[in-house]
Amino acid sequence: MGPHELALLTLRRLVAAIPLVIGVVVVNFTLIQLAPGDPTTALIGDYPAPPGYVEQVRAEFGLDRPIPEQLGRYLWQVGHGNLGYSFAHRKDVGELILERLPATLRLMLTALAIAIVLGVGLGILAARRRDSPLDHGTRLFSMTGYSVPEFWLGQILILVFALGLDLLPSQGARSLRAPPEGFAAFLDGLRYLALPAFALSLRYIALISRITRASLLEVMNADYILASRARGARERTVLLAHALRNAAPPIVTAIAYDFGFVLAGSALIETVFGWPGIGRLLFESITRRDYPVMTAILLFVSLGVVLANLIADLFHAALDPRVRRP
Amino acid sequence: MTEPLLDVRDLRVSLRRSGREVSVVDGVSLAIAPGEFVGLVGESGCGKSMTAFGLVNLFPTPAAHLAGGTVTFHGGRRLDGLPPAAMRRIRGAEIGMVFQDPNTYLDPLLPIGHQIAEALREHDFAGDVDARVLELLTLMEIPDPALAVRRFPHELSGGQRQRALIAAALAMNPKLLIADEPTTALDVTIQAAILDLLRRLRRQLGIGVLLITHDLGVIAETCDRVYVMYAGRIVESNTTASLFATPRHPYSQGLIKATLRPDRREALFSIPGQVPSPDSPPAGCRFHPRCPIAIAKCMGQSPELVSYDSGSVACHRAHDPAARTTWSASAA
Repeated sequence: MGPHELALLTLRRLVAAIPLVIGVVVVNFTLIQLAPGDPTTALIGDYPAPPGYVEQVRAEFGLDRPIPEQLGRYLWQVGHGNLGYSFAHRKDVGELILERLPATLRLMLTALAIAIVLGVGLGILAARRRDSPLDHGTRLFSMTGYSVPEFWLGQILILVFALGLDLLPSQGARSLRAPPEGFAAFLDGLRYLALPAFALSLRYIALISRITRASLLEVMNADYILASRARGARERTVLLAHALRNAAPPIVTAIAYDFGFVLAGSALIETVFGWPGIGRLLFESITRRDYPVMTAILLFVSLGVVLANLIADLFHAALDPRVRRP
Repeated sequence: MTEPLLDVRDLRVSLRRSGREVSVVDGVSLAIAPGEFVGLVGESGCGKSMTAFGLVNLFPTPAAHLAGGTVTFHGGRRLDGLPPAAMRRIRGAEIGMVFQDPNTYLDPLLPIGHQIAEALREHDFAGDVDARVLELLTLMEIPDPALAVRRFPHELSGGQRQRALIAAALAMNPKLLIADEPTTALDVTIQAAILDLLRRLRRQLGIGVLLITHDLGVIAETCDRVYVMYAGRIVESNTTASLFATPRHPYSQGLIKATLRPDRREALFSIPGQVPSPDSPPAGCRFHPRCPIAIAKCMGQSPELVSYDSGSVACHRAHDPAARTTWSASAA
């Protein structure tokens, strides 16, 4: 695929995503407005404030305007890169999110990488040794892995590896007392990353291994696999050159689809492990009714999902000539 | 016949079906001389494709497996019981295979040049792989070979796809080409062109060809000799000319009678009844339930293949003059 084709496809998908993202913002904004409660109560606190003061605060933040007007103002602001002001943190929302984003990306991408490597690996092994003890074991592992709630798994991991065996830290993203430097800092980060990343990835290891196994088994029955073997191809060639390539599209789609859920799952995992990321920020902003932060994070989540699907589309196009030259 | 290129004796192929062994090829023997064009004809489900897969011990389903017999190839080498790694070195290098549907036997994600080159690379071709691929595409009469190597299967016509598959099968200069219904999925005009190509390749390269088809018309156009297969067994074999002139087995007679011909105006003949299921083949001669001249012996005793003149036939009544025109009285 030439760079021109690639750029054109990317542009087309990005333009198509604009109404989708606007729709997401509108729906999120409206849903939150429909929910009971008022951020001013959270802001002022439980003190019995004079009604005049409450009105003054509401007017200050524009909360006394009709909802459509508030929505219009919000969209206008977001369009200009202003995500609003956090009531609870008394800080610019954009600034707040940018502060927290790197930690979340580190956790998420590590969890996704673990899920992809282990999921695809286990799926291939299970498909290659169909109906063997290994295959049955993988299936059992997948079913268990898929059914276990991640926040519960997180707590069990803390109990076993942090409190019980005292092997790994359970809270935070790095050592705060005597922070190491250089390569030692990287290793220190890995130690903090291990438990939350594994807890977050387990469900997706299960999902991806199942889809890899099913997709590969289906492709292995294809006529072109038989033709390749009849040509005398080694099994390694059959698997790498033909089977995995053809089995890849559903796996890639599933990974892109999971991306949104990993983001959502990180809200719980970050809370359990005290991880200083967007997930915990979302959790906190929900309990504090910090609406601007909530809508902004949800906007980021939907942008993430759109981006993940765009990458999946580009991957499909790179892989399948029928997609790029129909 | 000189030393045969391929000598198959009593080949058996079984399918494992819900814990039971079902025999789909039941003692097939056939021989192909070097450079000979041999046909294997029969109805769908008679086991002709399974016979072909059995020769190279490669099956489309893991349920199928060799259940007996010997396959002796060029130079007296036994192919049955060969370890997988050794068998792989023969597949594609000494025995090429072409299949029915060029649309599904090419990998949709790879350029055809890559798939032809695969046959060369996997057998550690000593020469220039790219040059050989271009040479093969030229040999297959694919227009503009330099451009065609980078084409994907969906960008080619059905006929060109089949040519690409034949090119891949012939890449390593095999001594035998097994072609399993190579024209069935193609338009009639393309069919003729592919058959022409096969005939020319056989002449030009001196390869032996085993052509598997249900179409006697295809056999008549191409083959030196024919084996007629019914329900997992060979029922008759002969030179093509003799088989069409004097078919001995009632089944062969029926097949020839059922061939569409422009000079015949009457309704198309078809052999009554159906091919028996391999789960429960009839006792005795497997054709007897559909045979108009079956006698008591046919139901109890399976006929052996008996040689005569240039051919052989497996029928208890083959030497009975009445058996020469089995279907004339009962023509549908």
